[in-house]
Order: sequence, then C-alpha cells, then structure tokens
Amino acid sequence: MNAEHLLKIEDLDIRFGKESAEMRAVKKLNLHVNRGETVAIVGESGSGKSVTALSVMRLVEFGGGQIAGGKISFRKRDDSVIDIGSLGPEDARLMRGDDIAMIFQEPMTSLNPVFTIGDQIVEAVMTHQAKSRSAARATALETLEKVRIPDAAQVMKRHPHQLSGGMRQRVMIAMALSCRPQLLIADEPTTALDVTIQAQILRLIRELQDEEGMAVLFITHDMGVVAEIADRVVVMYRGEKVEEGDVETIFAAPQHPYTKALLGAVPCLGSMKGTDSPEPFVIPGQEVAATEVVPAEAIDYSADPLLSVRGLTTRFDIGEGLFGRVTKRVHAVEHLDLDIWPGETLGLVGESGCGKSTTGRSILQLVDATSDRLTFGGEDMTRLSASSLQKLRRQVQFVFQDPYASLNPRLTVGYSIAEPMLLHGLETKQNAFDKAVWLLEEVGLSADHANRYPHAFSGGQRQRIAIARALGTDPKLIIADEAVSALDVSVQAQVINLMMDLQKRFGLAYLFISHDMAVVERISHRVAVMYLGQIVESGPRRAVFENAQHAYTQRLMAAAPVPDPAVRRRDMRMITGEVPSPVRPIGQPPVINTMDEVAPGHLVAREQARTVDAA
Amino acid sequence: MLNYFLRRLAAMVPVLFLISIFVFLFIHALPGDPARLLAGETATQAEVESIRRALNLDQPLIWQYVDFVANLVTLDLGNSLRTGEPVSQMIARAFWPTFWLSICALVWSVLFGLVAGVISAVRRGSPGDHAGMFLAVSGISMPNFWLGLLLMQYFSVHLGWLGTSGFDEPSDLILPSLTLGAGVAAVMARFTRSAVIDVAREDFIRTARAKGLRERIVIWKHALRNALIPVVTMAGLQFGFLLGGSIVVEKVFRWPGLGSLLLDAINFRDYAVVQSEIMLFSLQFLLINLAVDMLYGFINPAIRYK
Amino acid sequence: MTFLKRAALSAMLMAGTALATPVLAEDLKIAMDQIFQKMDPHNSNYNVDYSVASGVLERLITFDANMKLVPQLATEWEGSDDAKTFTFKLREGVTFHDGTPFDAAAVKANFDRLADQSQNLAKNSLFKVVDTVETPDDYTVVLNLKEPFGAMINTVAHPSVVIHSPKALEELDVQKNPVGTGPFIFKEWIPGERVVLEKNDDYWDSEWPKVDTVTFYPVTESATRVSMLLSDEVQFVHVLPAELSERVENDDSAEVLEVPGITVWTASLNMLKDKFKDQRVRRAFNLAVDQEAFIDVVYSGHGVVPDSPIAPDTRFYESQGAFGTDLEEARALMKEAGHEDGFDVEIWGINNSTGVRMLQFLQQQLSQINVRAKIVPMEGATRSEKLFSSVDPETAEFDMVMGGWSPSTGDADWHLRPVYATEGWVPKIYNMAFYSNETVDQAIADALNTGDADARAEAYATAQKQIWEDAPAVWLAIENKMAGRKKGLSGVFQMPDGTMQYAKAEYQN
Repeated sequence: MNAEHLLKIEDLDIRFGKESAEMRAVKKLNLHVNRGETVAIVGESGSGKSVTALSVMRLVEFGGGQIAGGKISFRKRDDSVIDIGSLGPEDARLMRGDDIAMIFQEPMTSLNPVFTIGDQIVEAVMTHQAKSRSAARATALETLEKVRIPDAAQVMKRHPHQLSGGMRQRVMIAMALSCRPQLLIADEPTTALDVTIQAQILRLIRELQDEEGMAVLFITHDMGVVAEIADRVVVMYRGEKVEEGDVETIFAAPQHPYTKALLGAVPCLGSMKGTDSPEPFVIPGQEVAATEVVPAEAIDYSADPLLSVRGLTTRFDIGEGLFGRVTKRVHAVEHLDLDIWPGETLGLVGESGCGKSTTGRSILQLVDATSDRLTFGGEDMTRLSASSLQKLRRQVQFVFQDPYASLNPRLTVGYSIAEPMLLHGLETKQNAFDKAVWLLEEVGLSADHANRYPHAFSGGQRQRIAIARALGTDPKLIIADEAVSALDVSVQAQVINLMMDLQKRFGLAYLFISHDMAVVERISHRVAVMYLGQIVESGPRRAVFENAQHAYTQRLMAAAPVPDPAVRRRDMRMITGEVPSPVRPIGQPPVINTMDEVAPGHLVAREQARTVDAA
Repeated sequence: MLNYFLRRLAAMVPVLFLISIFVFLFIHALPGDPARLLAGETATQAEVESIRRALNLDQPLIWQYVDFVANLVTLDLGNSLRTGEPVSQMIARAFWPTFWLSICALVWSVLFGLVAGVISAVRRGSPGDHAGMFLAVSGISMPNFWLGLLLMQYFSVHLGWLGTSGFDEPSDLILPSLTLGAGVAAVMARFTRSAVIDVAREDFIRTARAKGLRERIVIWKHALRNALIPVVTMAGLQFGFLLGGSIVVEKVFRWPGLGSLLLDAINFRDYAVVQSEIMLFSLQFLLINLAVDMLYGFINPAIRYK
Repeated sequence: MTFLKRAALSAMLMAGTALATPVLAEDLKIAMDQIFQKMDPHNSNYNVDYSVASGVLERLITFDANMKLVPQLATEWEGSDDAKTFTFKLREGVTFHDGTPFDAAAVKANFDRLADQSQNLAKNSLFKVVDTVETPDDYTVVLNLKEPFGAMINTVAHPSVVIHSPKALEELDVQKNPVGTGPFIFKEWIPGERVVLEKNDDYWDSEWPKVDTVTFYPVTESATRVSMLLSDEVQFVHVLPAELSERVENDDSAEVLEVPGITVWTASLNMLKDKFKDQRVRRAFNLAVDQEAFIDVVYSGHGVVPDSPIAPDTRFYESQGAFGTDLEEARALMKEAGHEDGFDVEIWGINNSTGVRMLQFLQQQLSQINVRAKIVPMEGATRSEKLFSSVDPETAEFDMVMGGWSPSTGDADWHLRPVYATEGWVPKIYNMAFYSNETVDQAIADALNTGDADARAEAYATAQKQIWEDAPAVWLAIENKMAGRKKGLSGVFQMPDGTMQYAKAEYQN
C-alpha cells in the first residue's frame, strides 16, 4: 500500500443472500482514496456504490451482505495498516465512527427521533473517547459550532423533529466529525435536500475537509454534485467499476458508454438556452426515437385557459394554549393566481415548505382551501358542489413522487390502473381492464405486466404505472408532484420523455411541481417560482430562466449544481440560516405580493416585503 | 398538553352517554327474567310476581333507564337486584382484587414479553427464535382454565407451596397472575418482536451502528425505545381487558373480582350490576386509551398533541 | 395459606420457643358450589343459603340424614284430623344469640312474617294457607289454616322455615345479619368471598358445637373445590361432580360421601301435542330409554333408576316397579299407535356439559324407535324465561323438556303437586308435560285434606300408581348427592335434598 493511500480496496466482492439465491452486489472492485482527497463513486441505483461504502464501514453484514473476497486496507492514525475485511466484530465496531465515519442520504430519518441531538452526539464521543459526560458535551457543542449551527447550545437540547432537513444533515456531519475520523464516507448526503441547502452542505463538507485534513469518499448519482466536489471519480455500473479518472477528464472525455449515457441524461441548467419549447432528452442509443418527435404545436395563449385560479388560499391553524385557542397559522398558500392552458406544462418550482405541493392539493380540494374564482374548461367551479368536485377530480389526476406508496401492494397493477375508471363509473369492468392493458402499452410496458404486483417493478416502471393509472379517466390536466425526483437520472430522462410524448398525443396539460430547476427548464412551457406560499416570479420559461428578475429566482438558479467541474463556485455565499417560516401569529397575515409585468407574460413580485432577504 | 388532556376528558362524556343507552338496551334485550331467576326454578309463579313487585321491575323501561342514568350521574349506582346491596359498594369491593391481579399480570407479562420479543427479534430465524415464538403461540392458545388448574395442581396440591385460590395475602396473586399473564406475555412477545424487527430496518439504527455503538445499546436503547409505541398501545389494550376482570381465571382461582361479579350478575340478569360494571369498563378503557396517548409523547417527543 | 402456616409453625418449633403445645383453634372450612345470595332463608330459594344458615338459624323441626323428621326447636307436634290446625310444643331454655329468649312469641313473629303475603318474600307462598298463628302459652304455638293442608308438618320442616330473633327482625337487616339460636353465631359475610361463623358457647345442647369457627367459601369452579380439599384449605366440599370423585377417592386423606338424592330427572312429554296424547307412545318412550346407561353416561354411574314419580327418600314414596328397557316392546307400542316410522321431536334442555350430555344421550336412544330428535340446549336465563315466565300451554313450542325436581319439604305433596297436578302447569309451577288427570288431582287434594299419615300415604299411593300408568314423562334418573370430606371429620354431610348440615361437626383425633 502506497504511503499516500488512506484506503485501498482490492478485488472486492460483496454478496447477498444464501448460496441458492446469491446476488453479487460488487464484483472485483479496485479503488483507493488518498489522504485529504475526495473521491466520488458515481452510479445509479443497484450499481453497488452504497454497498461498497457500507462494506468499508463493515455495516454491510447487518443488511445480510458479506465480503466474499478481496481486501480493504486502511491506514490508521498511528500509520499502522489494518485489513478491514478480517477485523473481528468488536474491532470493526471500534473502528466505526472513530477512524471512519459515515453520513447518509436521509437526514430526516437517520437521526433517532426519541433522543436529543446533544445526547446522540455525546453518545458517539463517549463510545470512542474516554471522556466524562461533561467533557463529551463540550466536544459535542464544539463540533456543532464547527458545522456552523447557530445557537448550538439550544440545538443540543432539541429533538430531531424540531430541526429542518438541512440542520439535521449538519447534525449528522457533526456527529460523524465528533471523533475526528480520517475518512468520511458521505452516501448521497444532499440528495434529499433543497438546492440552496445542498449547496451549503457541499460547501461545508469541503471546508471541513480542508480544516481537518480528512479524506472523503462521496457516493452520489448526481453528476452536478460530482463536478462540484470530487477530485477523482469512480463510475460504477452493476457492481463493477467501468471508469475511473480525474474529475476534469471524466467530464471532458468520458470513455465508457455508460459514463457517456450518464452525462447525457443529466439535466443541465441552461442547456435549453435560446429555445422556447420543451425538448426531450437525447438518450444515447435512443437517438432515433428522439428525432422522430414532431415539434410541439405552439400553445394558443389567446384561448381561454384550461384551469384558472384566482386568490387560492390554504391556511392551517396551529392550536396552542389552553382550550385550543388558535394562536398561529401556517400560510401554506396565500392568494395564489394560476393559469394553465390546454396542452402546456406549467413548471411550479420552489424549495421544501414553499407551498408548491399544497397548491396541487388545494386545486382538487384535497385540503381545505378557498379561492376567489376557479374555472376549469370554461366552467365556473368556485363553489364546488359534490358533483362538480367529482367531475374536477376525474379530469385532473395526480402523479406523486413515490408511486410505491400510491399503488396498493396487494392489488395487481392492472387492477390499480382500472380502479379510478371503475370508481368514477366510466367503464364496465371488462372495458376498464382492456383499457388498463392498452395504457400499460402506451406508457412503454407490456400487456402481461397487468397481472403482476407493484413489488415486481423498478422505480421507473412504477412511475410509468402511476402515469397509466392517471390517464385512465381521460384527464385534461395531470398534476405531477415531484413525479421524477426519486428516479435515477437515466430513468428520470426516460420518464420525462414519456410525459412529453403523452402530452402531445393526448393533448395533456401538466402542472409540473418540482424543486429541480434543470428538470423544470427541460419540460416547461411556462414557469412559476414559489416562495413562502406566494408566487414571486412567473412567465414563459425562456424569459424566467434567461432573464430571472427576482432575487429568489436568481438564488435558486445559482445554487443548482452545474455538471461541469470547470465552473465550481467555491466562492458562493455561505448561508447558515433557515428558510423563513410560513407560520405566522394570528392577526399578522403576510403581505400580498404586487406583481409587475416586466415583459409580455413575465411577472415579477416587487420586493418591498423584504421577505426574501430576511434569510 | 394539559389542554389536550382536558379536552379528551370532556369528550368522554358523550361517549359514555351513548354507551349507557347501548348497554341498557342490550341488557334488556337479553332473554331472561331477573325475577324468575332470583326466585329459582322451583318457585311458583306467585313467588316470582312478588319478587318482581319488590324490585320495581314492573315499571316501564323508559323509567328504568331514567333511573339508571340518574343513578350514574349521582354516582349512586343503585342496589343489586339479587342481594339488595348498593352496587357501588359491590364494585368498590371487587375492583381492587381485579386491579392488583391485572397489575401483576401486566407487569410480569410485559417485562417478559419485551425481553423475549427483543431477543427473538435479534436472533431472527434462529432455533431460539422459533422456540420462543412457538412458546408464544402456545401461550396465546392455551386455555386459561387449563393452565390455571395445572398450576394449582402442581404448586398448591402437589408441592403445597401456595394457596389454591382466594385472595387473602399478596402471595395469592402469584398463580392467578401467572395464568392471566400467559396470554398477554405471548401477545407482547410477538408484538415486541415484530416492532423491533421493523425498527431495526430504520435508518437511525444504521446511524447508531455507524457511530460504533455496542450492539447491546443499539438494540436495547435505540431500537427498543422506538419500538415501544406499538408495544405500549398493545399493553394498554391488554390492560383494559385485564381490568375488566377475567371471568375464567377469577372463577378458577375464586378471585373476588369484577369478572366473578359480572358473571354472577349476568347469570341472574342483575341489571343494575351489569350496567354499572360495563359503564366502569368503558370508562377504564377510555382512560387507559388517554393514558396511552399521553405516554406516546413521553416515548417519542416528535408526537404532538392537537 | 398452608405453606406459610406450616413454615411459621416449623420456625416456631425450631427456634425452640418455650411454648407449650399450642391450643390450636379447631376451624372448619367448607367450599360450596354456589355464591351466597341471602342470609335469610325466608327470602331465598337456594340450597346454598339454606345450608349456610342451618347452623345459625334453627327450625322447629328438621330432617335427619335420611330425611326423617326430627325435633329441633319444637319438642313435639301434632296435626288435627281435618288437617287445619297444627300444634307445636317448644323447647324451653333456649336463647337467641342476641340474648332474646326463645318462646312462642318469637315463633309467632317468624310465622306471621312468612304468612304475610305483602312482604314479597321468596318463601311467603309456603305459608299462604296459614290463617292465624296463636300462642296459648309461652311454649305452645298453634297454626290455624284457611283450608286443610296435610303436608303442613313437612312444610314447617322446610329448610327455609327458620326462626330469626324477633329483635333482629325488627332492628337489623336479616338478609345480611342473621341472628338465631343455632350452635354457631354469624360473624361476617364478605359477599363473593366468604361467610364466617363462630362457636356459640351458650348453645342449648351443651354437648355441641365442637369446632370453634366455620367458614364457607363460594367456589363455583368444581376443580378448584377439589384442589382446595386436597391441599387441606377446606375440609368439606359440597357438591362433588361425579367426574371429579375419582381425584378425591385417590387421595389418602379424603373420602367421597354419596347418598341417594330426592331429585328426579325427567324428560316431560308435552301432552298437549297430538303425538303424546297416546299413552302407548309415552310408555314406548320410557321403554326405549336405557336408564342404567343414562346414569352411566351422565353421572358416571352415581345414581339410581326411578321406579316411581318420586324418590325413595321422599315421604310417602311407593315403588311402582321400574319400566326397564325393552326395545321390542317399545317398537311394538309405537307400531300400535301408528308411529312405526317415528316422528320428529324438539327437546329443550340446559346448555351446561351435563345438560348437553343428557340431551345427546336421549337423542341417540330415541333414534332406536325412529324418533328424530332436535336438541335445543339453552342458557339458564333464557330457558327460565321461555319455560317459566312467558310460556303459554296452548302454544308451547317444545315437545319434550328436561327437568329435575327436588321436593325441599321432603314430602310427596311438594313433588306430586307442582310436577303432576293440573294446578302446577308451567308457568305456574313445574308441570311441563301439561299433564292433567282427575284421579291424580283428587288424590293429591285428598292427601292434603287430612292430617292422618296413613290416609295421606294411601292417597299418594293412588296418585303415584296413576301417574306411573300414564307416563307423562320419561323418568331418567335420581341423581346421587356427592360430597368430598377430609377423613377424621364427622357430622358434616350432604342431605338427599341437596342441602348440607354441619352443626355437629367434629374432628376425631
């Protein structure tokens, strides 16, 4: 082992399951990490990248896997080299968290909800260091401050649910750093976070790395993040390393077809510059299909909109104090105006908690919402009677982020697709099933899939099924709420292409709700940017993206990672605060934005409310 | 939270009122004439009629219901048709034996169930796990009646260590609570096992291991505390049932509790006692339910009360 | 608790404390099969209440172990020939537990209470015939009846006709605080748990009592009663089910007591139904059923085959000769009656395990003469409602119904009249066959109209003969009364009528 090597993995084999049904998750993997270096392992779900990380931590055996071959060497602080694979369980435990620490993708679920932040960090410190409880608390506090947590002493006393996702990820990092490990393994640490928070966390990891001289093994599927942070890149595909190299080389001259495909599928902010209409992704190997796409017909904005909402408002009361008196109120959606024309995609972007998902639900009255006026298909539905609500819910369908949660695991896929048709009494049972099969074929699956159950499908396939299900009632509008956010990039590209294809063939309109600026740029005709329950900027996609006027829109664009190592923004402003809250005391309603039309159809909120800069 | 608690208490009133109507109608819909039952099978019709007059059972039902509710409100539960004793006194006397029996049965069975369940979960699929769960299934399916007599035969008759039955001293609690708790222990073990297995899949368990915590702490501190919610729910439910008094166990062990009281009262269609006892059970259930809900907040601070 | 008691005792001995042989109180503990309802037999219909009260509250006349009349608070008695006047000479020198002297006035207070129908007491009906109660002197009581009632002496001997202290009747709730003249004084009753009695040192018979305390426990679970006996927590178990008697027999320290009972179990045949109007059918049913086998199946052999409508230990019993089992004859009778192919019947019974066994056995036996029986086991309260409260003879649904009657006065009258006289048709009393025969009704009335024992015997013989002839029921069994007792204990025993006595309890050491 080279003296520069901190971690060296040689011919690593990882298997899951018993001999009869064995699954080789990682095959003959070789890689190394030097001191102070950041190595990114890139790949999609099932590529074996996370399993590799877990095996370095010797956590893989808790999930039923085992290191079946090869060697993982690690240089400890005292320069001695250990073979991680052959450590006994107790030695492996002592190594974990001390020499090597790890942070995970889901900050929302990775902290134990029942213990305070302080206790959870103190516990890590006391496990590895012979410190008294008070000394351990001091260390914990110091580490929390190191990860730029404001008011760390207070945060120590809090429970995880009282913190935002970004704060929790900082806590996770603090916990990992509390014993000053040589190597930090970060497994998709920013995937679940908003872009602005993601940028902060990446920046933080980089800074801490410089301060501590720590090496980082960064696991991700996001080429934008890779470009932002990695020194070296290892690309994995189906358990094998397919390519390795400096970050610049990988991005500039990818060798392996898979690497090329991966880079091709990455939605890149700004890639639509100079175009007016949405365009499908070019997927390597499927170029033929892409060229066949007929250019979209221009949307007729002089016609009446399909859906028009004025003054949509949704508030949730928070009861506190004796006798449940309402003292605070969440202004989730506040006086929102929205128009969607037939056949167009309106992208609704914003960060978690901005009210974009609530907006989708409010339109269909899935939450208690009020509006000054709501028309659909020219019909006034402001005061929704039960029958008109029924009609509205038939013509507007939902596709959610997690299709697995919305498909009943005990029903066949065919039945799940037929169900809404039967529920709305649109088809006879036989016809509904026939139509379900036809829809399955329309979304790129095959007829025999109808008799299978949801668990037999991959995430992308399930999302296709969810789309097929939504199409069953012949809707005019589909509200896609983060519909592609949980998918791997290549699958995401395919699903987006499918949605665009279906839009043309069925004349669908989409309300595309997403936090991902690059995806929204790709798919939308028009865009609305949402912040604290209100729209701060809206207009034709090209106008908003190429000429963003509102400070918040600009900040969102700036925070989106760019899959190009040449444009690293090391100098980006470090923000430690939290997103301002839409919770307000009773009697202090938010100021309603005044919109100015800066160009035809391009509306921007005046910034007199100063809400944005309060961050 | 106090506010939540008070509101929940207030919400019990209409519930109890509905239950009172239901209970009253249900009991009076049962076939069986208390006057005849009190008189006995060999009584003449004249004897039966004189008893009916003595007990005011010849009054219209609606007045009997009004009496019942008026009694409930004033907490004077009326008198037993059978013995003439005030019902409140009968219930007060039967409550504590059942209460202590329930507590003992619950405590041992929950402790046992937790330990067995956690061990089973940790060694999932091992022979120990299978043996433990086999025992649990046996515990659930073994009739209390049979288990009680078996224990009595061995410990009281054969070894002579413990009294057979009755409730005169604390050690008399041992056999009945063992019998009563067997089923609960088995339910708790199975519940704990599946709850711990579920929690063991959570991300924060992986985090705990990644910190290098001892496996013992990972399971008994991080996993168990989170697994407690379903376990506490189940324990509360079981406690509610236990507090109702087990008719079988109380009969076998001659336990002077609510189960025996109810059995006698039903056999004799002693309306006043049956009604009052069922109202008491309902109230106990509602209170335990509330207690369990409040406990959630202590177990998991993320749970908020609205 | 036995274990602790023993441990304490041995600890005491080991410590070598200078105690002389401790004078251990002699305690008697008894497990009863039912919970206690009331401490006042005047207002109870339950054997368990009569049994517990029998050591505290005494009667003028009582029964010995064979149901023969013996003096208790009365020394002698006689009835007039017209059976309308009954005179009792009272025992002198007796005082109640509260110090009140026992005399004619005390008896009159009790008899008046029983005779006063407005009291609504459970046993008021026993004294319905009483017109006036006279006390010619301090130790003589005379009952004047409204009409002749030949069974009055046995009625006065009924276990419910006890003598309370007149002071207690006025001042206390005797349902909970009985005050009598018996060998034991009531101490406490914890309902559902126990009744405790203490020795009466001033008992009129100075030879008794010989135990210091008596405690009764209601133990409804039979197996528990047996376990208590075997672990010496109780010394006597009242009502020992036949299936548990072996456990007691196999134990060296305990014994099984068994006496023939006076409860006759029958399957009454609803004679208002056409199929049972033919005497041949009713006789065929009796001949088809193997009573010996019935007793084996239902009572593990602990019973006797009835050979009269009443049991041998009932006063004025006269054997009619058992039917025996003769399937050939039974089939022939059915054929004669035109029912060669049988018919359908619905039999009502009780839903406990014994009751269901009875029903199933009967169903099987009747199938031998092609009778297809539908058996209907009923929960106690439901059965009593359908059978004794709301039944209308004309529309009664059942064809046959199981029942057992025990004449608590020990007299033929209180068996024949409720079960076989026309006046006893359910719901009034217990005639579930709707049997009505002039000869029988007349004989029962005649027997009541005289105080002369021979004349009564003759009348009851006529009635028994006629009833046996008419066979309004299938007579199944006379169940033996069984109890478990610790060896070395005497004077505690069960009675043929289902009660028990303990006044002369004594340990042989």
